[in-house]
Amino acid sequence: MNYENPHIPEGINTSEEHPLKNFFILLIGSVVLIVTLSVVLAVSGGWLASKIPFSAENEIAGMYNVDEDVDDVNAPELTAYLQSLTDQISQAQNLPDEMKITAHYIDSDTVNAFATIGGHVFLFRGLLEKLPNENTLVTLLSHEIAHVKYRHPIKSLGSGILVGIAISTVTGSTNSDLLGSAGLLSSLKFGRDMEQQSDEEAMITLQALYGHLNGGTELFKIFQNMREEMDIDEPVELFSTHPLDEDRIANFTQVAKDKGWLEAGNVTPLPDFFEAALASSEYSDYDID
Amino acid sequence: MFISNLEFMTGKKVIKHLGLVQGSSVRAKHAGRDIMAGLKNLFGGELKGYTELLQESREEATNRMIEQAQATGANAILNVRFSTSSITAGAAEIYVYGTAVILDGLD
Amino acid sequence: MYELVVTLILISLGYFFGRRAERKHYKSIIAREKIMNSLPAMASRMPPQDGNYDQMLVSGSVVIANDYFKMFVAGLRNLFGGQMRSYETLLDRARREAVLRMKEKAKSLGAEMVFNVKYESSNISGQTKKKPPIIEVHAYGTALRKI
Repeated sequence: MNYENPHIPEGINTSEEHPLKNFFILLIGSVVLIVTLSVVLAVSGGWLASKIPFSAENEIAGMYNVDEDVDDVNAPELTAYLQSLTDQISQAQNLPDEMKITAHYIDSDTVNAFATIGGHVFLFRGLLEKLPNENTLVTLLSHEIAHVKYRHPIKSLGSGILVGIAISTVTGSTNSDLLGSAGLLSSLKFGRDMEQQSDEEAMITLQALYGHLNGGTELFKIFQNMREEMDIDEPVELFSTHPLDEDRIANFTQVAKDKGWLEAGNVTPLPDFFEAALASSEYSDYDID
Repeated sequence: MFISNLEFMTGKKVIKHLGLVQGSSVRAKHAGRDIMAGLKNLFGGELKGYTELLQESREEATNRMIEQAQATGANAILNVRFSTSSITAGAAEIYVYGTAVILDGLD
Repeated sequence: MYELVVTLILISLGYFFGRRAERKHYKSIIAREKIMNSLPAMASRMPPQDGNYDQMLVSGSVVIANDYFKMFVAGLRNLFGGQMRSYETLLDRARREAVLRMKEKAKSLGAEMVFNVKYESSNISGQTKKKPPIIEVHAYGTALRKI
């Protein structure tokens, strides 16, 4: 049998192209694709979610048991006070009747406060302890209530769910926990424009209730001080959804100037029981044990 | 290039055997097609996108095999076999191989 | 952030070691193919009719795994579709290695040629999608030894 085994040149079944070139093209392509897709989904998710009536939002929120995680019962006087302020602010912001805001108190050192779906606003002891006067507390509450007014929690939840579904479809992971992981007590991320909108609504409320804006910037200074104390580097502005504290203060002053509102004025002190209520609720845990 | 999955070409004599030649191609379908296929799975029917994809891939593999055979100086590939295997989720390899030969009296 | 750094390290480790191993393997394949060149392997089923031969089934197989870099590139490729270049060299090497092993076996048995060579490849990684591909390539044929 006549046989020969000629040499077959390399590179017919493989390509000579440098693997790194391929890698970078793919990497850039996927980043662009993913970013565009998430932006589109987030925007459309937010838009769709804002069409959900507030009553339906309440029903979604009703799936979670809020009372279990909050310490309202340990500080009834304090909670009642927060609720009365909340009601005043709701009226000042002209919230629709069905939009009922409930203030909750959480006994935790965390310096934070947030609003979530169903009109629940959570205030942590860690932040309340740092508030110098009622005006600052009203700024904080107005900011959070404004989030609810502009439907930020449901929009952000809607975006999150839509993006989450897309991710799990593409990666093929079955994440059945979509709604569960975005629970009521996990603070939702709001975009920078949402934060700014709420800041400005808070200023309008301050002006309406007190006739001046004094005490407003104190709130941002608390966060600023805390970051400096804890030595947290402020995240790069571009990647952070929360505007930098300095920017918020500057924006505050700017808007006040534009509208001709006073930044000076007499501040209303916090009620006498406020500090005591915070302190006593802190120890109530030990009493129970 | 004459390609057949028979052992021989009727009426032509094999002058020379030149050994195995092979071509392969690995292709992935894009995520969009995956999603469409997921929908199609509900209703059944042909997945046109996938048919085309595998067809293209098979052509590419065949072309590569032919290229190898040409490099050996053959004018025919006999006993050609195709095989398909799934490499990873969403990607399949098409593999084709045969014996490169020189047939008498073939252009 | 931490996860990103780990991924980057894994990718670069995978790239450098994977590429080095691939170069080394190709070098060895090409050198061994030259030695084995004298032993023909064919897909044909018709053995030469010019004498009597002993027939023996011979086979060679190899199991290969992927490096992290290739896996990552393949993962990205899955988004867009198209040719998966990163896997081509992998399969090319595996197939040639399997044939070489088969030929080496045939040679050790004193055979002169291998007929009816067939390939079989299967993915033997786990069922979950996340697992990297582990592929076995098996080449087998009939070795002929002249009596």
